[in-house]
Amino acid sequence: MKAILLLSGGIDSPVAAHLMQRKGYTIVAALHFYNKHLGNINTVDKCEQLCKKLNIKKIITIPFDEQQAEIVRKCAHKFYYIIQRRLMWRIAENIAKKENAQYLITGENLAQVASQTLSNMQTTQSAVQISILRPLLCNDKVETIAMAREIDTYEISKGPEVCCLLGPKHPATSSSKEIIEKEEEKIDVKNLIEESLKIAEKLSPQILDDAKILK
Amino acid sequence: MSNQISTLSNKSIAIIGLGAVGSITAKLLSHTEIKLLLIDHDIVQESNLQRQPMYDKSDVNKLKCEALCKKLKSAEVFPMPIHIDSETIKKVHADIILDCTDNIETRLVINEYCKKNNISWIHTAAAGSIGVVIPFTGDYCFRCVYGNASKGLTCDNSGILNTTSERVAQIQVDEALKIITGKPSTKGMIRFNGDETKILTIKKKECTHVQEKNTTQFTLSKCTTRAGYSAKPAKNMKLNLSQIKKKFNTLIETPIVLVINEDGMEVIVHEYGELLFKDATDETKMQKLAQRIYAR
Repeated sequence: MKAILLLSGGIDSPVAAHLMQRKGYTIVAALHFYNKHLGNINTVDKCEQLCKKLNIKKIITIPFDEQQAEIVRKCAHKFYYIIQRRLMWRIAENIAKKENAQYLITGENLAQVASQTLSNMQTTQSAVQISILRPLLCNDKVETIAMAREIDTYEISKGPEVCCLLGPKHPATSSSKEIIEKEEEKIDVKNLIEESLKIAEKLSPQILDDAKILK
Repeated sequence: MSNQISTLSNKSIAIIGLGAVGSITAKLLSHTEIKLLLIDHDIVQESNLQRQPMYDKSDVNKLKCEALCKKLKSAEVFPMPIHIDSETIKKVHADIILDCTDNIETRLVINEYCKKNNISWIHTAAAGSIGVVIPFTGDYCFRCVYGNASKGLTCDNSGILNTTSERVAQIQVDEALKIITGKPSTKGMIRFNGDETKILTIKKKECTHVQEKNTTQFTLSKCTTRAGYSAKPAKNMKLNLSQIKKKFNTLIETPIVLVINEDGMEVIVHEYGELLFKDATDETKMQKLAQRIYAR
């Protein structure tokens, strides 16, 4: 039972990882999309620390600025989050195949944010074939936070974070596969996936740590 | 909240006139970390005491600015016992000037000085049960409102309720804090008479006094997310990103956000005027770059 974890650096995804590990799933890699230019802090650092805590041996990081910019340039702004997530998941599905994993784990939580309404989750889901595991689906945020404290990831997760400056003020809270697919015709999805996979970097927290000690 | 307060500690406000309104204004502002310049060359007279509650009998015959400084222990306060005229006002260096005077001459001096130097100021007047507060942030000036009027109601001819001066001071401090934290201040004249408060729009008398500003007012502060510095314009604005893109080395371009690299700093430029500085620590450098980005 192998899975890829979608790790944002926030509070939810590490807790989701922990719950699935507890059920016996092996997380073969954590996948982290980050901003080199559109954010202004190093979220990769955070993910390294989180993976060490969660004993995840591999992190795959993908810079995502250009891909996001392309979506903002071409697609209806209110669907930004949905289109972005569908792209992330497609990339994740590709990586899962390469890593021989059958599942994606996300920290999604029903109706926590606009992209996590039932309607939008369905639309996102329809972009991929792979099974999605959402252990936090019906948690209250306070429960998730309590659990994050328990497994000692809260302090790492709560660190500095920049809100997405590209997001619309009023994101769509419902969508349909048809509308979104139409929007996606305005961008070259296939090419964006390929480019993203090309610039993906693999890191191993342990090895990195050793390297730091050697210095 | 603590971030908000720490950004105030490098701001300064000058209060000109330390009578009923000025002394209460100073008292209210003394609980922030803003530096206060207390300006008045007058001494406390026994007749002041019934309506200027910051002073007491032991202060009689002492300079108002010094007596008041002693009472405001929590704040960084500087007494300036000078009479304000077009020369002496050049010594007043502050982010905002608050007019708590009782005469038109000084107000006109403040008006000219603030216009010339792009300083926001707030005019107050109180007499009887009537109070007036007008924030001036550049859209119009004192002469736009009053023309060349030289006389009006003064406390000398109408007296004043001490509650009137307290309320004027409260409103003035509200407006001053809005300006200093980069929020939009009230547009127009805030006027109350007893219980009734109105905000009157200002009908500009033909005024050539206000020079078009070519600089944008903004505040630079540490982000609440602790992730860098951000600059926010005092007024709502929409930036012309395609113009900005041409002027700077642009890394990423979208219809709503640009990322530019200039002076060794990466800056995220949002079309609604917010700038986010990455990994930068030199505030002066950030201020300068922000001004260049905002310049049209």
